[in-house]
Amino acid sequence: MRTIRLPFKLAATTAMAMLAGTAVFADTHAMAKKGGELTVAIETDVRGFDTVAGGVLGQTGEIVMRTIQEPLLDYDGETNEVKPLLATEWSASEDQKVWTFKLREGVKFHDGSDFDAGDVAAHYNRILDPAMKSRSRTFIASIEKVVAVDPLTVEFHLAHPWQALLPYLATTSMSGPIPPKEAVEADTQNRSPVGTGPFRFVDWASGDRITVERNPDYWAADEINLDKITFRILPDTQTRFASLRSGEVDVMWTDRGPSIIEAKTDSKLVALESEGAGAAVNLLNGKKEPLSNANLRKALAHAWNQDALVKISWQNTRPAVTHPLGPVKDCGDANYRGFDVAKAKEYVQAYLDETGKTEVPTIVMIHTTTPRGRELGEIYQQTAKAAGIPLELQPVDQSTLVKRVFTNDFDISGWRIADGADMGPQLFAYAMPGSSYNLTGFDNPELTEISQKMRVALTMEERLDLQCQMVSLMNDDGGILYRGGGRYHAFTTPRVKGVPAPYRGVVDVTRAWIDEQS
Amino acid sequence: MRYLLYRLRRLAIVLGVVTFITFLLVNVLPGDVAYEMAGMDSSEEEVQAIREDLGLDRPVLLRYAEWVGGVFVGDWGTSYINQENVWEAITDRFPVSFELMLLAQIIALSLAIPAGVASAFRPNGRADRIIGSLAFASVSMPSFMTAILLIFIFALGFGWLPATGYEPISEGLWANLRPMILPALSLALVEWTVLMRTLRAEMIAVLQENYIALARAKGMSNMRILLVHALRPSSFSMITLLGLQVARLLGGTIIIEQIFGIPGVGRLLIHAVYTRDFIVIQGCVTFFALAFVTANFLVDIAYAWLDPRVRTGGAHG
Amino acid sequence: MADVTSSTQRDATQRPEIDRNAIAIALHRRSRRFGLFFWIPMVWLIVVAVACIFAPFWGLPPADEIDWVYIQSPPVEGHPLGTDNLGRDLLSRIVWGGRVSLTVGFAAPFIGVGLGLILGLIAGYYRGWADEVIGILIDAWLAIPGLVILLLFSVVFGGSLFMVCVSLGLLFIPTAARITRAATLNYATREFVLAAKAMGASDIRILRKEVFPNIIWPLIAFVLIDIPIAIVVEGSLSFLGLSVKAPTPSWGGIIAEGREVLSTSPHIAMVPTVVMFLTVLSFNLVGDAIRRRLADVREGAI
Repeated sequence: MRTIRLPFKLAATTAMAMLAGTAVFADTHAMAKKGGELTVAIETDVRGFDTVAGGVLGQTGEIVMRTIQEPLLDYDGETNEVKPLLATEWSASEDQKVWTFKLREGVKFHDGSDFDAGDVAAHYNRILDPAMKSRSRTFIASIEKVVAVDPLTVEFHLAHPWQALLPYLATTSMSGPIPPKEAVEADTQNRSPVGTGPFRFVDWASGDRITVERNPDYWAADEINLDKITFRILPDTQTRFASLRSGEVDVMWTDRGPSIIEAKTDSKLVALESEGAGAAVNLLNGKKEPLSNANLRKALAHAWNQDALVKISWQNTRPAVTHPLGPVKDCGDANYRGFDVAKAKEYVQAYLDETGKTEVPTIVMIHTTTPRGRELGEIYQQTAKAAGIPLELQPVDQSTLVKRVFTNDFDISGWRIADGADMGPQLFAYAMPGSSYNLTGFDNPELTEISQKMRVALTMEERLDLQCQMVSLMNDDGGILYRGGGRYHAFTTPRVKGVPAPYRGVVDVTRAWIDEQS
Repeated sequence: MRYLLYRLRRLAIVLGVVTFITFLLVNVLPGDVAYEMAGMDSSEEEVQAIREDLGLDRPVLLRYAEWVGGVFVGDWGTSYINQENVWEAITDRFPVSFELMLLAQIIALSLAIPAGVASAFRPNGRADRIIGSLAFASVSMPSFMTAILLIFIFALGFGWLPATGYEPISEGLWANLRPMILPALSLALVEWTVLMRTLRAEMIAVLQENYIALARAKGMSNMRILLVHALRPSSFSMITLLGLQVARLLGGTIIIEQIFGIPGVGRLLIHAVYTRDFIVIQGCVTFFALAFVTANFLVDIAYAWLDPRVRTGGAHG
Repeated sequence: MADVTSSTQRDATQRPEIDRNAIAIALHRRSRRFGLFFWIPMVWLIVVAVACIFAPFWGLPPADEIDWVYIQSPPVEGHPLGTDNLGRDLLSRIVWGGRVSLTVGFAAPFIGVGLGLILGLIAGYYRGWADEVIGILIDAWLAIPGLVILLLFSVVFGGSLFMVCVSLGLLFIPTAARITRAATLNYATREFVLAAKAMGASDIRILRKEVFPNIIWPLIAFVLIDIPIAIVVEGSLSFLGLSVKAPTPSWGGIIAEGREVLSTSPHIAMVPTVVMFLTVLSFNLVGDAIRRRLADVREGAI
């Protein structure tokens, strides 16, 4: 058994692009001032902090979760390496199927109980239990079981070699952060979470605010500066932005192009930006008439103008992409069917010839009632019309959209492939026939084979190459169309220091401090 | 007294009807809390299991009966989405909405009374026409646009007042009032006109009563006549209106709370509608109806107290 | 409450003092004349109505067509009011959006008043349990804030123009029903109705021939007040994204879309705001003038 520290290094480009003038890391922690309160504006409320009852945390939920609970590992978005957090060192067996983690000594939960291997094992085994119906299970199903060897040693047993283990142990969405076993059993974790994090949960008024205060017993207490953080839930982008500009909040996350552009030009605000994986997409439902016809799907793929949407709706605050892997891997054009009305018309003709129809039936596109959803629909409707395909728009709210996508009741829908430290598990779920996440009806033996090979790849290079091949096959089918890749923006007032760029869209405010001079 | 008892009985029936209508409406909402809860990677069976868990597969009438039973013992249920206690969620936020409505009414009244008196003094005179035009102008502006412009000018432009937010009164009176001024003003700018017009119409009528002529003949100053003798008898209709306006204000707070990020019941309701959190929607609407009905009952009492004719006659529309 | 004030006013004008009569007559004359406050808004309304009704004939680009060359542009050749953030012609969107706003503005009050009229007639004419039931239903309807009803309805029934008109119309039922009921009560016991009853006229006939002509005027006045209210409420619904569905424009919707770029391209939100404001204001002024005129006619007739 060889001991490996920091084994997860990606040769690819740096995943973080700092904006000129931000210079957050130029301020060292030595300059940090103690004390003060911070107000952070987040977009959506959290459903709860319990791994099962709370569902999946969005980017905004992770911002809160980060301050209260911690995962085993930390992920450095700048170097693409995992770093110790609650686990201090780790090693893998020769066949890469058993991973052993040494836990940090003397770490206590906010309720005073000790953090130990039993908590880690109980947490993961609970997610992996199919009866719990955890939404995180699909993505970490390669883990067979987790065993507490002694209070400070825990073993992860895998079904097969799995390169995504370390990134997934570092995630701050639901499966990563470790809660105390007792609180989970007492069923109090969902509304009043307890963790090992630098801040203690104080209060949560649903739809309004979540308050946390400094944890004086934190294992790295000297790194923490703020006394209190208030997360204000402000769903309306304009309200959030106005609050930042008039100083009611100090930190804001947004993905709306116009606000980002305006905030960047505002000299009184500090802009933070980072590149990531994932993508906003359109799903074409190949499981149902009329898009079960491959030619019609391809026609719609060519009729989709990603560049126009990126320019108009995102206002170039996101890149146009051909795959969701982010900057860690360059898949080239990955067989992506770009915007080309002439080609779209050819495929429309092929569709008409094949089916003997005289015109393309009206295709129903569902989108959310938000500005971003509306703009998406309106732009696609126009470009599809140019190719001779009539689109009917149906604005629905988020929960209805999700329901209709999962019950196969749509032709086209806006969707999002979430950013992950490793995109493999998600791609696998989207590509495998029979998977509940195979929303577009991919059913290609070649794709299935590559997906299975990708899952058990022994090196990261091989894994990423196979992911590119998967994406190429998916792109050729035309079931998933990209509408902007992962690039994240956050803004702070100048008095806030020590906030790193939002890796995966998650703003980490745990180490921030307030400097009233600037 | 008998009149008040009659009103009370009627109000109870009204509340019953309101809750039942809402229960039916909420239950035909498309989208399904079970999907919201089951999450993205769940199968149809899992969704069905959640539905059974919550009892959503049982008949609407049965669930309504259970809900009503719960309300009588103080159990308004817990949110499907985040397990928050509905009664606590509402009572936590209601003081905020109430403060907003109260401030809005105070501003509206302080605009409406002087304006109403001034226009009633010489109907169709210069003051009356100017005030009338202003009233038309301000009622022609949707409150969401007023709100946006107020934020744009006073918060982002001059930086005098905060654009959003809410501070509890424990942070100090001014800290509490400051972020409330713009939202209350946005609401008041629509509401004051109705009050003003009602007061004006009543006052014109009152000013033609004999006792006013008598006061004039005695050489009383106009100011004194208007404010001391004419204002009180002219304000009955306006007081009834204050009660009726509670429903409008409650509706108005929904948009205003959204734009200004104020943690009131309106935002709770909108959030619940978007997430299909039936039990919270039901609780909010019931609470709104309760607030409206109570307000109007209080108005009835105040009316009876102010105007002895009602106590004896009981003539009411 | 409304009838209380009008009756006291009537009492007042009948008072036999000379100077008061002179004032009353002067007031009456002045209110009978349609002044500038009537004609200017009327002209504006006609302009808006003509622009909206004949929208297809002005050679405007389609309201949902994206001009890829001009995105979020100030006024340029071919786009006299500029384009919105998707590059759609703002003038065209405002004109087509006006069709939605005006349709709702007229249809909703008529639907509401129509239904309210029926309920009010039944309650006021038959009294008894029908009156009681209708009264309770109306009280219940009033106890739920209007916007909440609209919110639930639009989520349940979706955003078609027809549904928006109907659900908005429902909001006008209570007041219309109350006005009708009060007036019906008033007329149903008058001599001419009693006489008709004695002669064996059917209820429908009495309602249609004797009662209805007498209560139609206050209801028309009520419709006039409601048109601008309906336009504003439709705007609020659009603002919340719950009115007609994209890409159909409506004034509230254009304002909501433009709000995001209010500081960089203020014209996108401000032009429809001004148009909406002027239109609603004009409806208010014209409605008020006609209402006064109607009140005079009515009093003269009695």
